[in-house]
Amino acid sequence: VRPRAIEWIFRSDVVVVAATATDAGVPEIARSLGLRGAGPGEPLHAYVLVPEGLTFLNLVAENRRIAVTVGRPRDYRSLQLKGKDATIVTTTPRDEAWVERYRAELGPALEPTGVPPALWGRLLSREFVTVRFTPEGAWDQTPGASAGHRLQDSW
Amino acid sequence: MPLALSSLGRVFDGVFPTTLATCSASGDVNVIFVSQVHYVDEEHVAFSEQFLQRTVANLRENPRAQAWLIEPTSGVQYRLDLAFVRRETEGALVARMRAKLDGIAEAAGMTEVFRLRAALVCRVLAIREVPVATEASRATPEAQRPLDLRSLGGLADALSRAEDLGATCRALLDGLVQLGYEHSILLVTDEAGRSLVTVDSRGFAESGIGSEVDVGHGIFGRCAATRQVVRVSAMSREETYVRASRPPRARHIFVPALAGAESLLAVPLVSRDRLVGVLAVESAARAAFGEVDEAALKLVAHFAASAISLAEREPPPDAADPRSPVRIRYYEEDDSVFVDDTYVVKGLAGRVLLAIVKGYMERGRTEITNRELRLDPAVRLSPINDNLEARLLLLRRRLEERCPRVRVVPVTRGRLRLECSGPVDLEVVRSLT
Repeated sequence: VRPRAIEWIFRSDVVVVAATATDAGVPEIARSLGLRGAGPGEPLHAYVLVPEGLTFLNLVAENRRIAVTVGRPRDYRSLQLKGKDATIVTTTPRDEAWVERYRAELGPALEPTGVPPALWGRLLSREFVTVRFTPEGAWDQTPGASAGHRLQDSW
Repeated sequence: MPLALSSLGRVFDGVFPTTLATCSASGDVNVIFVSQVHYVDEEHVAFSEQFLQRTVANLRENPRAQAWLIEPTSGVQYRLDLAFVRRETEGALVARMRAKLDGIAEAAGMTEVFRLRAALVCRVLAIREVPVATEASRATPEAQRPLDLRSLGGLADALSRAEDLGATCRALLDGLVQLGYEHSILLVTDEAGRSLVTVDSRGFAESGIGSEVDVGHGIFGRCAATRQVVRVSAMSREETYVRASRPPRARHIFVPALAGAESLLAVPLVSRDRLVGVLAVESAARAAFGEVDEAALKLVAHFAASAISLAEREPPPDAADPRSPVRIRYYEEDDSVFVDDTYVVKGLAGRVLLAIVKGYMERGRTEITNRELRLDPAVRLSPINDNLEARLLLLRRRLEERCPRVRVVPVTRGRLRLECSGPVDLEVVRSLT
């Protein structure tokens, strides 16, 4: 059961980044248009922007390893999820709808942090690819004493 | 053509957090947001290590890393392929990074959370612009405003002509306006070097003259304590309003602050290795100050520190004119002075005003010299660095602002005249302790 304490990671006022690595240990970063949780115990969907995430997607297709960090700019809250079963899947109408809502809400949601909404139009590509993964754990990344600690009751 | 680190615009200004990914020897990937990335030289960058245990552990096992940076004025994004070189816990780089981070952390009340532990220095193996396909037109990074050398020369000239500390402050802050910095604050150190006091400002709703900041506390205090430039490009509103100043008290004057300020640049004023004060400029725009501004302010600070030091060594001021009574109340407890129930100053400036008023009340003298003030044991000036000039300027400015019925006017160099628009009624309130 997904703990209620981390429901915030599925909202539109967060910034989501993902990473994987080559077999030689060279990391590759990508950005995601939010993160969708299909339901308790279900895999998560990340929406990796392309063309910027193409190398990342190629690597994930081979090694299936993924780390995703969700950050909430207004209070520095941050959480990292990791999985070893990442798969590129067909984007469904539900995914499309979710991303559309995220895009529409992100700029206004982050405006109070001082980023002009128009700037997001330049930062995020139109196209994305859906990546599904099951987190094997969640780690608190919020600056502070608990940073890096694995959350006990995750997934 | 390969990109150069110095050509990436304002990516190091910290407006957007940077993403940093590392990978352990066993292939465990870690991706985090980091608050600061510093340009070290054309081949190296440094990350601020706060709570990055996993990242540090990964880098020790496998030096390869990747960072994703965003240029804030254009939205252009860059990928940096990196190789970890070393972890520094002291030295110039760490001092520079710490000054900035500590100032912000303290202002936000998060000192422990944002405490810098080390600088993680990485070599840049490759820089790639991230291809983005959007409907928005591609923007180019805003060119930094060139340094206006003519105005800078004018400021230097005006400083060299200033005859006393008041004229020096005016020349400095007016000159900054000419250079395009409309919101500026000048703070000077007190006689003990433990606190900074605002002696002049431009462009704020309240001048804040007389407000104090402890050295080491908040952005200005950290700038003074570390003697490092502090540049902030995206100050949150909370931080703006939790600006470093002593806890509010009944006789508290607030440090001037620009409502909604996003950018701040504070430079220490140092003359012959002595901290003279701090000069700061603010802007409501994000990332308003870049490398050129930092270089310009450092140059101005150099001129200003010398001019202020010189003015402090050269004494200035004279007379009263009785008519309707001017009520001056002095509290022994903290040397604070109220004129017609309006708080004016406290501390050394308060004792100086009392000495001037007493000279008039007890001996009918309207003029007094700096030398007399220095020799007056009741004024309690430090024999090493008395800072009298700065306190006299503060006193004059506070009187001008708050109580125009009482003036302390420089007559000739080192001589002051007390001018009152009525007979003086002095009350000394004794301390209970």
